[in-house]
Amino acid sequence: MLSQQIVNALSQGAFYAMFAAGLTLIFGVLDILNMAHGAVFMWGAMFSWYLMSVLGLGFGPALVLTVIFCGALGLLLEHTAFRPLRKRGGGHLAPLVSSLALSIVLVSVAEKLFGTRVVRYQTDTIPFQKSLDVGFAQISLLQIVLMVMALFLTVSLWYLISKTKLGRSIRALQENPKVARLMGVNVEWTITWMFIIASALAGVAGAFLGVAYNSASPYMGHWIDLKGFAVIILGGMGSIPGALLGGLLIAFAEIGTIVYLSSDYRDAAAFVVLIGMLLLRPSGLLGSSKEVRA
Amino acid sequence: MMNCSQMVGAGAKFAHRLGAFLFFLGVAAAAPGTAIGQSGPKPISTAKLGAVYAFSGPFAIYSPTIKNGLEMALDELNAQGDPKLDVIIEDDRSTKDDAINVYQKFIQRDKVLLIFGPMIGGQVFAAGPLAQRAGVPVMLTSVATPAITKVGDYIFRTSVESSTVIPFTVTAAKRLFDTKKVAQIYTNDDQFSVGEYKAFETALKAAGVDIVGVETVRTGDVDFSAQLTKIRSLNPDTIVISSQGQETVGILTQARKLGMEKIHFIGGNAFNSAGVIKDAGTAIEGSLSATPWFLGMKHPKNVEFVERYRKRFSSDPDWLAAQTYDAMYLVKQAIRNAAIHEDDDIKTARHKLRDSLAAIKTFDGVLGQIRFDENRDPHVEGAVIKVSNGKHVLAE
Repeated sequence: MLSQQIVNALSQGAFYAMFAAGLTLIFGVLDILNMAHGAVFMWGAMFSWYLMSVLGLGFGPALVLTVIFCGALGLLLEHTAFRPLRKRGGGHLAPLVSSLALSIVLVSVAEKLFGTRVVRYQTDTIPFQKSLDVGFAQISLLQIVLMVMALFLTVSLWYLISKTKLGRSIRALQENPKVARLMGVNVEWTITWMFIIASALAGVAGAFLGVAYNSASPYMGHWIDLKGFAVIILGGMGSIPGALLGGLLIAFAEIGTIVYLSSDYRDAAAFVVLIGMLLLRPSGLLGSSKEVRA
Repeated sequence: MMNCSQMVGAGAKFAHRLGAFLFFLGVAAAAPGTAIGQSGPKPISTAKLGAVYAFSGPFAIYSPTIKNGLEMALDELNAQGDPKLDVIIEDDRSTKDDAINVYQKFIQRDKVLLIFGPMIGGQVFAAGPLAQRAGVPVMLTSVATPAITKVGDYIFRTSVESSTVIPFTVTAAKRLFDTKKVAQIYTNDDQFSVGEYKAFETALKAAGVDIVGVETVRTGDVDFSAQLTKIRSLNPDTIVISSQGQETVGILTQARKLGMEKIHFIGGNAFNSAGVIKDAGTAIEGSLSATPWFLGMKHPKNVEFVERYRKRFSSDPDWLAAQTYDAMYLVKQAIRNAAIHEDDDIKTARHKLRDSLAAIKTFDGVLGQIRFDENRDPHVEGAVIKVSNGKHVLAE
């Protein structure tokens, strides 16, 4: 039973990590909580569901189109909710509220287009359905693909940030936007790309969650938003490996609670861990504290 | 010139009015028996009633069958003779606010004898007290929320709380599955599901079934693998699910994926939904649940009702149509028994109707034999149904 629960926790953690990676990227650099991240995640699931179940596309092409679509949503997000406020020099609260507003719009549009019910995929369109009995646990191919994908995406994102030119700009921006601009970093361009990447990641997470649990609805972004914030605080805000670690830790805390305590306390577990972390190490597991950075 | 044409218009209007007046006199004179001839109080010939349901908004998906049941009963009843029922139908757009507005309109402007609806428990908690204060009887035909009649003694219903039929599911599971060891899983932040869970717990204990584990999920959860893995290790022969539709589908399919292919499932109201059966596919095959009403119930009133309904609407009725249909017949019977007179003021008439409704303790309807308890809540035998080849059938 325990090995099965470890498999359950690993695949749950993979979702949290994929979702939180984009969130932590935005938060770590811009100090902005992007409240619309969950709505983009939801659109990733709904859009890929539409492509697969209504238009009859395979999972592969649907995933590629979803990445493009959610990237475009990120562009929209940046241009409507964040850039206008940045131009006016708004503080931290204004972008939070404007992204919250945009997330409500995104959810309402999804409600209008897809209805308010949970939608299901046609069972034959779900990829990697085969379930393997590896002796100690039941594990589906999809779960393996998902874990590999989460690992691959976080590693590539980490590579992007630490090794590429765009990554250097992002890090410069994180250090000090004004100085970065003086040094020739194209700030607007860099930020736009960050939103595109973050939203595309959310879209991939949404598309995978949809097929993994055969369920998508306009409201699926609500619960994961909260979990996502817990993950990035736990892992360290702005740290990509931290998102992976935090995602796994939250998932293990939740499932450990179900196994050893009671499923009643599942959600409480994540937030108890969070509060504990805030008390002991406010910068998170892999985060660097503000004082050091300044 | 302009004045002239206006004068012509006014003249024509006057002639029209005069004509109408003369016509009225003629009618009054031609029918002296009804207007003047009789002595003593005369029973009302028309009863004005109001009906408010969610014909638009998120709950509107439930209203077509309610409207069908209402219209079908109305036509049949009015063909049977006096008192005629005159039902004003209004939409509350699935909101509490509009339910309140429509209630006020019904009570003050339309001066109805009784109000049918609204559809959802929350709306009744909001609007019901208005009717209670004004002394207007209310007949609910869709609200299965527990204790809704506690709003006041003017609130009646034909909508059966689904948890009252849950014990029948447990006895059927013992008989058909030889259920001895169960695990329960339920949504702990949804009041309806918690109610079902408690009803199951009581029924299971009363039937001497061993409950080996209880797990909870939350509304909107999609991953149930941890809870199900834990249940699997406890090795029950049956799992009892008390959740809404979307969680129920997830629990069923994930349980099968985790290798629990032989295990039986029983559940509450969600299992009765055609949408859940469709979404859960083979995972729900063979599962049992109980329902206050089922299309295939074999008592003559139901067979007739289903036949007439299909003929008229070319679709199948659901439990809401059945409950609304029975409510209309019940109200007509109560109006007849109440002996309301033409010269009763509206307050007295409403009061008489309330007492008359409260006096009806049993009613033979489409739902079968309905028994009303001291809280005016209906109880029925119901039917235990099984999923067989993706369809509900009576479990026998």
